[in-house]
Amino acid sequence: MAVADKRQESNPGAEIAKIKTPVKGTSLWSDAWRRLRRNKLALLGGVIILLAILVALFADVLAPRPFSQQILADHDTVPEWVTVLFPSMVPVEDGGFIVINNNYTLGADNLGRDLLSRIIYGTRVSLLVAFVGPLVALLFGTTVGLVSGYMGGLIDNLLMRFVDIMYAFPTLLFVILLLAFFRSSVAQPEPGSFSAAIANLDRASGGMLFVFAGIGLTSWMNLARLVRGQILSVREKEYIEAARSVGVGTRGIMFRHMLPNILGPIIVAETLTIPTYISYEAFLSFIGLGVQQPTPSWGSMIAEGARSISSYPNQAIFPAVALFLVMFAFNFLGDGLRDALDPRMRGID
Amino acid sequence: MKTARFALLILALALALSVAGGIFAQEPVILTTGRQMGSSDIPTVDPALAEDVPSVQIIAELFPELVRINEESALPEAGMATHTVSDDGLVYTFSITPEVPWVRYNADAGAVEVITDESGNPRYVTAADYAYGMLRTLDPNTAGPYQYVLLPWIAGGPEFGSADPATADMEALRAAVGLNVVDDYTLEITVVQPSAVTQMIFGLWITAAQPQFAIDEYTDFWIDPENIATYGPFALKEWQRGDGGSLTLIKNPFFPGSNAIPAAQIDEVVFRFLDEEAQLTEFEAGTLDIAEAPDGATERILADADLTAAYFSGPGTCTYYYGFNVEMPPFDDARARRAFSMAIDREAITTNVVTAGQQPAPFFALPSLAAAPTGEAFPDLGIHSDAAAAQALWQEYLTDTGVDPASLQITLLHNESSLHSSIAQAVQQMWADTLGVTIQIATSDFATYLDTRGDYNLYRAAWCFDYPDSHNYYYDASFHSDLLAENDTHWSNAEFDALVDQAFVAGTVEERTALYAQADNILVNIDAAIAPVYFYVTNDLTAPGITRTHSLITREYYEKWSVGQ
Repeated sequence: MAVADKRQESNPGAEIAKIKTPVKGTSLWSDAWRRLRRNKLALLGGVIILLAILVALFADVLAPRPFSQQILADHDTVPEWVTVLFPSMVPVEDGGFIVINNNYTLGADNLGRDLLSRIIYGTRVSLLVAFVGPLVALLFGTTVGLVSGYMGGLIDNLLMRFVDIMYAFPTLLFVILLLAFFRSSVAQPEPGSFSAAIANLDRASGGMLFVFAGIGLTSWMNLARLVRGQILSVREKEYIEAARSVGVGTRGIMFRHMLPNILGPIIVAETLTIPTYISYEAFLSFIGLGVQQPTPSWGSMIAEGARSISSYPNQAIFPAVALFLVMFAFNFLGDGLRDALDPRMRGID
Repeated sequence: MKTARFALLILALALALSVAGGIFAQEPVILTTGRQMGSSDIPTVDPALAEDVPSVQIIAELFPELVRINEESALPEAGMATHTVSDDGLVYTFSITPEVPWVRYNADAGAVEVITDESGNPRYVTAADYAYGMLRTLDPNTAGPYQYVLLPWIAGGPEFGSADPATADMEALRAAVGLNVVDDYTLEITVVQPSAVTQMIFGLWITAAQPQFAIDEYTDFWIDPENIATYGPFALKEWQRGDGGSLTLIKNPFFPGSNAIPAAQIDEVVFRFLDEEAQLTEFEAGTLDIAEAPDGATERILADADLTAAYFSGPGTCTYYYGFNVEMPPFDDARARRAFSMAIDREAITTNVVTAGQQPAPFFALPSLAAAPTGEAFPDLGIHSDAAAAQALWQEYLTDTGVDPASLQITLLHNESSLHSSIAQAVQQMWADTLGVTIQIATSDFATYLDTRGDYNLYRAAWCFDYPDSHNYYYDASFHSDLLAENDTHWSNAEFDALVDQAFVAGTVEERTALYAQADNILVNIDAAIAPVYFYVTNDLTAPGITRTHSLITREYYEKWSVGQ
C-alpha cells in the first residue's frame, strides 16, 4: 500500500490530468431531477401515474372481461371480501340482502358488468384527458403567449383582449355549452357531410372527441397569460440583447432563447392543472354530458353507483378511489416539480 | 338605581311569561315529506301553468277542485261542489260550497288570515272565481302547458283557446265559452259532447278557482307566499326556492271541510326537495317522516325489519316506454319497430334493472285505470317479448328492403338520469345480442330532451296519467291524430282514432275496455309506434305514528292524514 501511495505522489502528470478534466456543471434540469428524487410524495405520484399509463395501455390484457359485457342476472353481486370491507353489506346467508359472487374482483354493477374491468377501461378516458388538455394548452397557449409578449403593441392588445373575453365565461359552464352545441349540431347530420364525419369520429371515440374539444378550447387561456408574463420579464434580459446583437432572427430568439428559459413555470402550471381537466371530465360524465355509454368513465360510474350508494357502496366508492388516486398523483407530482424547478430552491436540500 | 330595579322586574316578568307560554302553547304538529317532490325547485303553484307532479301536489292542497278524485279508489266524488248533469249529458250544474274564504299566511302575525275586499268584508270563493280560473287556463295569452287538455271539453273552448290574440275578437270568444255564472255559488258548464269521462276533467287542477284580485295586482309574482290567495285545507306559509329547498304548507283554520276534503289535522306539512337516496338517508336519520324508497335500495329495505315495517309498495301512475320515430329509417317500417319492441326482454329488466316490483307492460295503458285492458283479460293482444320472433321479423325486414344493418345509425335519446341510462344500456345490449344492431345513446337535460326528442330515431318517455281514465292515455298522451303536432313519434292511424273516439262515448265499462284493448293492440303491436317497457310502482317509507292513506293517483291528500294519538 505504502508503495502505491508513493508512486502516486511521485507522478505529477496524473495531478495535471485531473485538473484538465472539465468540471461537470449541474444544469437546471439535472438539479431539478436531483431535488425531485428526494421528494418522496412526488415520486410516489410519478409512480402512480406511470402505473396508470401502463393500465390504460394494456387495458385489453388486464381487464378480466369486456367493459360492456352484461350478465343481468349477476347485477349488484359482490365478492366476499367486499362485504368484509363494508360491514353494511350483509350477505343473504347472514340475513342481509347482498348476493355473493366471487367471479367479480370488485363486484358487478347494476347491469351485471364487472366493476374492475370498467375501472381499468375508465383509466383510458381520464388519462387521455390528462394529456389532451395540456397538449392543446401548450400548442395554443404557449404560441399565443409568446407572440403576444414578444410582439407587444396592437397584436398583444388584440390577443389579450380576446383571452379576457374567453376568460369571462365560467369555464365549466362554457364547456357544458360547447358540448351541448357540438352534440346538437351533429345530432342528425346529412350523410356524407362534414358534420356527419365529425359525428362518426365522436361516436368512434365513445363521445370523447367533444369532451376533448370542450376542455381543449378552454384550457389554453390560462397558459397564454402565464407565458406572456414570463416573456415580458425575460424580453429585456441581457442574453436576449446579446442574441439580438449577433443577428439571431425573431423566431430564433423566441423559440431558441426565450422558450427554454420559461419552460419551468409552464411545466409546473400544466402539471398542476391536469387534475382540473380530469375532474372536468369526471364531472361532465357524472352529469351525463361526458363520454357516451357504454364507454366507462369514472365520473359516470360514480353517478350510476351513487343511485344506490346506501345499499351497494362499492359501486361508487371504487371508481371514486381510482379518481382520487390519479388526481392526487398529479397534484403531488406537480407540487414536487414546482419545488424542484424553482431557481430560488437551488442549493436548498 | 330605581330604574335598574324596574328593568329587572320587567325582565323577570318577561322570563316567567315566556316559560309559561312554552308550557301552555301546544307544539305544532309538523310532518316532513319528500314524496314525489324531486330534488329541484317546484316550478310553480299556479293552477294555470302547472304540468308536473310536484306542482300539482301542492296545488291540490291550495286550490281544491270542484270534483275531487278519491286517491284510494281513483273515482271522482264531490269536491268543492256537488253537481247535476242534464239529461242530454251536456250541461253540468255545480252547487259550490258557500262562504269558503280566500286566505293568505301573514308572516308578521304568524297566522293564516282571511283576505278582505275594499270594504272590509271577507272575500269568498265564488262561481265567478272558478269561471275565471278556467278561462285563464284556456286563454292563449296564458300559454299554459295543460291548456290543450282542457281545450276540447268545454263548449267554445277550442275556438277561444286556439284563437290568435292578435287578430281575433278575444272578448267575444271569451264570452262564448260555455261557462255560465248563475249566481255566487252556482256555475253552469256546457260541454262539447256527453261522456262518462267528463267529470274527471273537473277534478283537474287546471279547473280550480283562481284569485283574479291577486293575479291582477301582483301579475307573475302572485304565487309568492306574501301575495298568494288560496282556499284549500292548507295555505302556503314558506317557499325556499332552489335545489335542496323546501315548501311549507300551514293548516287553513277557515276551511270548512267536507267528506272528500276534510279540514287538516296536521298543523304544518314541509315538502323538501331531495333526490331519492338523500330521502332514504334522512328518513333513516329520523329527519324525514315520508320518503320515497329508491329503486336500488329495495333489497336492502326488505332485509331490514324497521325499514320493511315502514315500507309500502303500491301501483304507480306511469308507463315507461320507448317511442319510435316513424319518419326515419329503419322505424318507418312497422316490422322494424315490432322487431325492436319484441327484442326487449321486459321480464329481465323488471327483475334485474328496476327491482322495486315493477311489472312488464304488454299494453300502454296502466292496468289500474278505468276501462284499461289488462294482460290477464286480453292475453292475445299487446306486445310480448320474443327474441326468436323478433329475429325472424328483422330478417324479413332486412331482406325485403335490402338495408345493410351495418350502415344503420340509430340513436336513442333519454333525459339525463342514471336510471334511464341503465335501462337504455340494458336495451342496447339486448338489441345488439338479438338483432345485431348496436344503437347509440344520447342524453340531454329535460328541457332540451322535450324539445328535440322527435328528431331522434327513438326516445325514452313515460306517460303519467292526469285523471285515472284510459282516455287520458289514448287521447291526451297525443297518440290520437287530433294531437299529431304534439306526438313525437309522428305516428297516426285512422283505425286507432276511430276506436278511441268510439270508446270515449261508449256506455259500459266493458264495451270501453274491449275497444281500448283493440286500440292499444294497434298502438303497441300491429303498428308498434311505441314499445311499452314496464308499469311504475309507488314505493314509499312512512315513519311510525303516522296515520295515512296510500294514493293511487299522483298526489296525496295530506288533510286526511294525522300524526300521533
